Amino acid sequence: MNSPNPSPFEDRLQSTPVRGLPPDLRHQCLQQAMQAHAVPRSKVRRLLAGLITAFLPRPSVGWVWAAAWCLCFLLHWTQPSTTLVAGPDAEMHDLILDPVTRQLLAEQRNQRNPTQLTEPTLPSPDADRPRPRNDFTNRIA
Amino acid sequence: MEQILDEHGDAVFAFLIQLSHCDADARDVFQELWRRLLDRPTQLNGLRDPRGYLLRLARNLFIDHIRSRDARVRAHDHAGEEAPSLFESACQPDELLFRHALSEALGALPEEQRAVIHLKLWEELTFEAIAQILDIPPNTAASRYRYGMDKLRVHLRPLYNEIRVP
Repeated sequence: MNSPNPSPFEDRLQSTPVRGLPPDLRHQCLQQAMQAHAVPRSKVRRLLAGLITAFLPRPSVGWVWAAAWCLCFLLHWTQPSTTLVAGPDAEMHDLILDPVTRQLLAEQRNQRNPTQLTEPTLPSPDADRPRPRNDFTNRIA
Repeated sequence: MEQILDEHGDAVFAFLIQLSHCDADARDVFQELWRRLLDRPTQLNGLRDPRGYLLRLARNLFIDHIRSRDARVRAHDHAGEEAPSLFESACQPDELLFRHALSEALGALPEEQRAVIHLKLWEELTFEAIAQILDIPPNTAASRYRYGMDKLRVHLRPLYNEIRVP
């Protein structure tokens, strides 16, 4: 396939030196190489991809449920409390709320502790009457 | 990367000059090739013949570069532009004249014959290696070389004889 003995003409052509890389182009290429070495974009990309792969969970049903629960918990935790306040902080809470809400709260508190509102029970009119003896006592007497 | 540039940069650029016969195109393709090497510097690891790989990559990028440009625009850009010298300058006038004539004769060849002749003469590759780089059968590479050399002989024989026989 290859010519075993190149002709003198081929030798003459072969001995003619071709142009090399221009010095300015070589310098430019080396500068690009230095910049690429200083900021190895491909390595940064690989590192980021590795981190994401390592720490990001795979999208499965379990992970979606867990994420949903965490989101609900966070929403519930961060929202202001709307439950009625009872106890030592009730007075402070009443100072904050408007009069109508304060009255509503007071009524609800009273409903929860009815003994404080209702009047004391009166004794029965028959309390002073002597208790009748039972038949067995009368029979012995 | 500097080692790669020093070992193969001259050969790749000379091949690109030979293919394109245009200094700007050769520079553009060389820059593109270098950028790809910088993006993936490990692609040369473990290669038996890195120069052959680079020459093949250079040719593929050159073809892409030429295809991406409109032929009419390219002809307009290069109109009136003198073809760059493919060879180093010489001190002797006769040698300088011969190199200039050789550059013109190579420029008159079809691109596929020019590529084979360059790889055969100045890279001293076998036809099998040339066939791998150019992605052609070895017989095709040999025939292109033979046809190209015949044309060069016709173009350069008188001048060559003048130089040889004063």
